[in-house]
Amino acid sequence: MNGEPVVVLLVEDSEDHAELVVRNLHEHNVANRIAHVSDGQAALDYLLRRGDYADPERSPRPHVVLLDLRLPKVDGLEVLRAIKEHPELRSIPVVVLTTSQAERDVAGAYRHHVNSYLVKPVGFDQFCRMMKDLGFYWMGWNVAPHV
Amino acid sequence: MLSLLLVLVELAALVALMVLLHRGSVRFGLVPLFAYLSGLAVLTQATAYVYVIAYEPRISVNSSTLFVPVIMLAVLVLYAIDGTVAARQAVLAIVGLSLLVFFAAAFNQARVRWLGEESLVPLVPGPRGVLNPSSVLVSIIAFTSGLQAVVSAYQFVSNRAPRLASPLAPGVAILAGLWVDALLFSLLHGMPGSDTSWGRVARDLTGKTAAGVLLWPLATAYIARAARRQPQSAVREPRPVFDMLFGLQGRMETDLSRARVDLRQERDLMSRLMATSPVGIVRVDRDGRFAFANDQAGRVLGLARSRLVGRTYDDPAWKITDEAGGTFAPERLPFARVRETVAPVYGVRHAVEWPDGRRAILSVNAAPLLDAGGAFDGMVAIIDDITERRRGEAEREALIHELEARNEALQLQNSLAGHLQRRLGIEAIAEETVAVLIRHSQPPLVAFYVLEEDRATLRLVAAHGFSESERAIGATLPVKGSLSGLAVAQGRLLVAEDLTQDERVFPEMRRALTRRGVKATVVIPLAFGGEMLGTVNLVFDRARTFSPVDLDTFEAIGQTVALALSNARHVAWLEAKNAELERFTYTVSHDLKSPLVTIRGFLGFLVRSARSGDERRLEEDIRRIEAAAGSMERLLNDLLELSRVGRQMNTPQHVPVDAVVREAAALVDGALRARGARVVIAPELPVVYGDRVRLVQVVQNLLDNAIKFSGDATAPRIEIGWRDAGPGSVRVFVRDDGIGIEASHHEKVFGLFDKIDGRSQGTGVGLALVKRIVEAHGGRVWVESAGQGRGSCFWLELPGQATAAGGEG
Repeated sequence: MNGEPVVVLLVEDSEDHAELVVRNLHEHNVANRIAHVSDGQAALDYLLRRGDYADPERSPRPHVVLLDLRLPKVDGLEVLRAIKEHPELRSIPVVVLTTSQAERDVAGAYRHHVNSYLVKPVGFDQFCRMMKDLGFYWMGWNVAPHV
Repeated sequence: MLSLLLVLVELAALVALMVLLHRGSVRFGLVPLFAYLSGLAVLTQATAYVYVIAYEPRISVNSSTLFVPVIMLAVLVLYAIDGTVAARQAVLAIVGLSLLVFFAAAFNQARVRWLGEESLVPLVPGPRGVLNPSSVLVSIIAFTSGLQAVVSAYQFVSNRAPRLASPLAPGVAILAGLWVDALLFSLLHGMPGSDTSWGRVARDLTGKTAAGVLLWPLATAYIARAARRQPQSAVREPRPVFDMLFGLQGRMETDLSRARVDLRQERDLMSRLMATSPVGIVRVDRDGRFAFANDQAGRVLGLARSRLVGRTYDDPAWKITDEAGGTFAPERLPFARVRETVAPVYGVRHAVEWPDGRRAILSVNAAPLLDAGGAFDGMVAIIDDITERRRGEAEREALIHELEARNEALQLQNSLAGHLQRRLGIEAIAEETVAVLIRHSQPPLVAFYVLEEDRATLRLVAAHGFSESERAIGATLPVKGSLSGLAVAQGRLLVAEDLTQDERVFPEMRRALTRRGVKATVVIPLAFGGEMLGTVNLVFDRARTFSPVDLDTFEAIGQTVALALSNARHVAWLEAKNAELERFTYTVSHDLKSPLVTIRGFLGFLVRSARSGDERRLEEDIRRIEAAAGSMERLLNDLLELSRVGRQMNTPQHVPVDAVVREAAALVDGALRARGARVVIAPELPVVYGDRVRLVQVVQNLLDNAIKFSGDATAPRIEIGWRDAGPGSVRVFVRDDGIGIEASHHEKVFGLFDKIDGRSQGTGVGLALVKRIVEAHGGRVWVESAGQGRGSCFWLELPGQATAAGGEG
């Protein structure tokens, strides 16, 4: 971890779901900083440092992006595509975190080179365990590329 | 021994003679039989006579009375049957035999002289004598005269008393002949130098009369039998008496008379044939004039026979043409050809037209007539009127032609149906239709138009043969003002046989096509179940007319294509429905699951907080759970509402928009006040036709929406007005000055759960509900917005009209 603060960009339109994710991640101390945006447009703005997110200090490059699919303004898959088509952003691991289990969403995400696809479990315990595993895997075990 | 040999030689001579007679006879049956009988009788008599004469110069009563009547009977029967041929043969035989008798007698006399009397073998017992040549001569004269008497008497009786002929004539004839024979013989014998005994004459007469009487029934029977077999004419015809004694002249007269009879019969036959012939028969002389015509020829040639004869075969009274009415070269006429080739011609066909318009098609067979020198001397022709037959043939040909055309049309339709069967897309159907039509009918230009949803324009979907610029001109056609549109409006096949002159054709297109030089066009409307779907236009490069079969074919093509198109539309509709359903299930499952995740998640934290006694968080989490459960409930209610639209509708009625708007505004009054918003309603709003409750729901949702997205404005203003949208249709708008919607989201806002702003309240069902209700009314809904922060305007197009007093608001 090199002492570098771990930044997670959480793209989630439901305030409640965001709160669930944030609480869990904090609980397991997997991230130093969680940036939450609630629509696709904001997510792209953050990553491309546009508008409100122009300041690199306030919006550092995330180590991993947790991306919901059904988002207002710009759809999750569109955000994914934009990230993976961008020469500098495409190396950021993107984990889709959604309630949708629809085959076309799964296929669409992988077609756009998603790094992982997770379906939010309905039960509390499963949700917590997934968040824990997610944190350890991506922020612990996983070796990120040097930027 | 020698004598026996001699007898055998004589018998052989007899047989040879009989064979000769047999070969000489051309007939069979009774005639040859009587020829044999007569020959046999004469020979037997002659032989006996020779011996009698050889030994006893006196006449043997026995031989004469036995054989002479039999011979006479034979001759009579022959004559009765055939007066010339067989009788002549018999007479020749008798003459020949008499000569034979003469030579046989001379031979016997020589034999007696040289070999002695012992060399003779008598056949008839009696005294012997020597041959007396004068006796033989007398015998021949008497016998021949007797024969003549038989025939003459028979002739006489037959002609004088025809009714009595059959029983009486044979007897009379035979008796007459016998008496003549007996008397002559006796009288001639009684000439100076011979001894005449009246007693012997009486004996001879008596014996022969008795024989004649005995033979009478036999003769009658034979002649009656012969008459049944032979034509009566041989007996009935008056003819010269037996021609033997009268020589060549008599025979010639007989032949002439017979020839005359034959000629008359033949003429009879010919004239009856001519009169009853179903075909016209004419004779044309060497100068080409009709010399003879039968009745039928008069009818066929349209002139009475009397007026026909004397005219030339190419009389200007009629005009000769070929079958179709074209010129018929004079040298091809039968007369010209027969004169040229001096050979028959068969089946020459040409038509004859009279000044009064009558027309007949003739078939002529003709043969040349030659004069004694073998030179052309006119012709005989058989003329048949084949007009009716040709008409029948022509009708049959037309029928066959029509059947072929129909068959071809059926094949085209089949082919089209086969090709369209598996095509589900409208474009694919259009392309395939055009391709099949080009392959089958080969029109230079084909265009396939589909009627747009607005029913006011036709859109070009596929085309063949048009240039880029022509495609551009015809890319869309107005329903009003184009031939295709007219076909759609009238729902029937339209034909412009010369479109360059046809006012109905879309003027710009007409100019373009006139430049191109195309002429005829056919517009086939595509209609299915009373619904117009589009047109197929065929354009031909020359003005042409279309047969009923062609038109039927086009109709059939239209039906086939329309069916495919209709199917494609249904498939497209079903696919859209299916996609909508899929999207619905997807979003429902996602959006219902989402609050569930929230509830379960915070319930977990709730338990933890309860254990750790973190009250602040406890309350916050309960609030979150409650909110999620509330949103779930709203969602379920909205979904229920949405599913009712279209299923549960109230009876449509004319509803004033003003009332609808005021009712809806009252329902959202609380929200309006809370936000400080103002609703401006235009005067004279129109009347729409629909479900009042649902329409209120629509306006309510739009007002809700306007309030929700009013942005930061202190006093939002919502305006409601309307525009006319053609007959039977109005457009109502709800305009706000809120946050506006980016162009990319104008469609999306009406999707289920598609919220542009994630933080906004509501389930995302509202506008979807609006869309469903409006579409259930057969209307449409869309949004206009200049973009973010520039307000939005929602348009509703619904069936309805302005109020009587209303203008546009």
